[in-house]
Amino acid sequence: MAHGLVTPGRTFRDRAARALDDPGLQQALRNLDVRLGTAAEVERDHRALKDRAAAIRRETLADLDGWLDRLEAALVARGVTVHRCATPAEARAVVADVARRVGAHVVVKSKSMATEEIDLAEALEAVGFDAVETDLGEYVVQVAGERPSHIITPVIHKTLEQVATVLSEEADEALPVDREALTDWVRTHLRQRFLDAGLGVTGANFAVAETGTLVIVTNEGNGRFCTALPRVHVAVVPVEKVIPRFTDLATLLPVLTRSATGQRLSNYVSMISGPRRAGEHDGPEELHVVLLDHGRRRLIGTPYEAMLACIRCGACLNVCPVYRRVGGHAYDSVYPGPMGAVLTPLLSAGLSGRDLPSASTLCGACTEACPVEIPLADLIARLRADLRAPDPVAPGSRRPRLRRSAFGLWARIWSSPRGYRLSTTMARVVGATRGPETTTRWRRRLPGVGGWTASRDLPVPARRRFRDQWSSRS
Amino acid sequence: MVESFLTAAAENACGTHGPHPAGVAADVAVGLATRYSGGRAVVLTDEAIVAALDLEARLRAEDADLLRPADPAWRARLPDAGVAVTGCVLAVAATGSVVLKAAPGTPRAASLVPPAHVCLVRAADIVATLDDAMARLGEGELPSAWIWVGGPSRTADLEMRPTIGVHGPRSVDVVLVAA
Amino acid sequence: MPKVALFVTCVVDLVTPDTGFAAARLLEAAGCEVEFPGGQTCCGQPAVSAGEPEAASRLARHFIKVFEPFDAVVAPSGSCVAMIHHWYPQLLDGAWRRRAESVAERTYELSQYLVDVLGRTDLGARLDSIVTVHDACHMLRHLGVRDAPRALLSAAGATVVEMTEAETCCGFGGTFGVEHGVLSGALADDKLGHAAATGASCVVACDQACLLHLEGRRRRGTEGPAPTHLADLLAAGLR
Repeated sequence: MAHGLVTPGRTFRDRAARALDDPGLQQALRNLDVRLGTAAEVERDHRALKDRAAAIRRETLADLDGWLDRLEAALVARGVTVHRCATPAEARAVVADVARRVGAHVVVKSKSMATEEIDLAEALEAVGFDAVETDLGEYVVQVAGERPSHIITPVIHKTLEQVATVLSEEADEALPVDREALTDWVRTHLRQRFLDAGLGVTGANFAVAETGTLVIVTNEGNGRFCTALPRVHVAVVPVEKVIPRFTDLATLLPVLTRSATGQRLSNYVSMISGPRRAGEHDGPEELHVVLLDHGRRRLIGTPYEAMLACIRCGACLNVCPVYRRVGGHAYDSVYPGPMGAVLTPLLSAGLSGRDLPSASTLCGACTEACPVEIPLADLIARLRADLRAPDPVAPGSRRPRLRRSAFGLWARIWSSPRGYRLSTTMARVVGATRGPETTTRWRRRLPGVGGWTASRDLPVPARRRFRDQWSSRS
Repeated sequence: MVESFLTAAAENACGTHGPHPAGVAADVAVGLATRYSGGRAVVLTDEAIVAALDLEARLRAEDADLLRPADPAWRARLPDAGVAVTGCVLAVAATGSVVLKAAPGTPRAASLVPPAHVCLVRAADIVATLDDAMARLGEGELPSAWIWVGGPSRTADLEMRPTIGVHGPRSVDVVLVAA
Repeated sequence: MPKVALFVTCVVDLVTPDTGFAAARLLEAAGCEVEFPGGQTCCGQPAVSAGEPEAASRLARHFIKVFEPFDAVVAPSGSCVAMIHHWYPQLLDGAWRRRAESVAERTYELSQYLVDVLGRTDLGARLDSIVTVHDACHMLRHLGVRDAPRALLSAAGATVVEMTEAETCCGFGGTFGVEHGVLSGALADDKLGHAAATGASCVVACDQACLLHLEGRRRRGTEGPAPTHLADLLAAGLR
């Protein structure tokens, strides 16, 4: 199934332009305004909790490999099969292999960005498995043939009318444009899949190293279905999901849920410590954990290590002025918004998402909203520099120290007062000849001018610089 | 703590009842179960409180069609049940959640598949905070799963507005048993 | 009498010099002696925005050399001061970093200096307009300054009406403003719209970058209150 975008285009700029012109999308995105309160409240009312959460994440990253080893040992001791996978392809192969052995054709998936990251649903379908997304928003997105546009609320980009249209086509009947009715239809329609599924695939919000416990939170209950009824459960867990202790959940869970949806705790939390045991009537007989690296451990020891603290709450998306204006599809990535602008180019070592760091005003609202203190805006700014090197994660030796770029030249000239004076006199001569209206064609080709004048009039340079007026004043 | 638990549970859209002495609590639970079952099976799990309140006998007295985990047709009949009556291991006042244990006699799907869930909570099992809960739940051997339930299942996926009753139960009632 | 070195910023120097004079007048009204170190050029923000840290470092070192002889450095630009506080220590190492941190400790945005350092809100300016404040991002988030501009406006008698989303970015964002011109313009529209809804006659900010961006959009046709620098407004109200 192709992952279409509601706002297609080759570049972020193209997609953003399409997004701005899409009235349905613009209407749907206004629903995000209700989330603005959440980040501020967590900041204001739960400071201590946030501080603890950030500390736990730092502790984890200080010894990520150690905690992963402990996690693996604890999982194995519980009868869980652990697969360490370096790449998405390896992870897909493992899951497909398990699915083939299970032999069942119905696979139910709980919402997991990691499974999106590795394109799992498509891979399963390619080998003949009917892999159905069970989170309501993810299901709508799957039926529509689109990619999710938000890491918490996947179908935020659609109005209720648009959702009704998508589901009506799937249902082959005209469903009412009513939340209860649509929800009810999905509940009924997916129920049998839950009951028939031989394989449940989930992610995990956290994986506790001390006890080998997987933690899955949902509001809908689909996570519980995927881990209760099918005979086999596979959890795709990116390596940064590991946390040290069972009791750390008392801090991390509420921080996650408050930052994500403003809830004290999500409606359901499953804390899974191994497959079903003797005498139990449900739960999986086989539990597999795919520990996915995909470029993550390489970030340890670099300035980008902080990005691994991310708990996938989505708060940064909710406060980002750019995300709120154009939605997630403009980013064309599994991970949109500020966290996506950092993670996408890093995980792909610069192969994808190269223009995402430019799609930011560096306003810092994301940094402010992040409950685990990731300096997102700073990392975005840093990526702008590092993406010019062949490997953005390890740019050091490969990025030229003294670039003969326009900026290098500019900085040299403006590091001397005389150079500054000379160059600005020349620039004023160039700009002096007209007023603030839309500028002549040749001037629009000067760097930056065209982009500015696409939507604004140019400011007029002053006839006399401040410094000249000041000296004549004294 | 009882009051704050009930308040928080109500905020999660749970029906709240009690605290009642054991006999009254049992009657309330039976009444709810009968109402919710609508003639369909009543799932009854094996937590100690269930036996302590003699719920099996009381439900049979109301002609309830009982379904217990030990039933050979448990899995086949579960999807058609109308309500589940369970106990819980503890309840958390700070969040209004109850925590159930996956174990023989208390299957994961019991409180998940039927459209209604009635949960008996002993007042003595209420803890104040998440820290308290995790300390308790982390003592000793961990079960194959701790299942936390806040209230009826819900989503905010549609235009960010909450809608109740997605995959899990459409209603959750907590019945508090005093002492 | 406190001696203040005025860092006018390149935008003020080249495009809105009146703001520099307004800042000087306000500082003088607060009892300061204002000096203008002639060697000053640019804080280097555009280079950070463009992903050119070496160029930014070069300009940072120049700034430090020009301003470190002074006890207090004041600029009518929240983003430039934020650059010095937040980015200079990240761009520089060793001795240069220490020098940067030392200068940063003595570098203030104008309203921050007047209110938080000098403890002054009433400088003798008199206004009777209705105004609304746009909280420029870097001043708000890196310097933590939110109340100072409002205190100065209220003390001058202006009625300050808060707009919804006062803290949301205006959409300029340095290189973003030119690379994503259309989107940048849309965000300007949102800001002007929120400002207009307050009924204010002007939208006040402490950063000419935001203001020129909003004014440029207004001239293209979006309605909204006149984007006005805090210093310009207050200085105009001085007798």
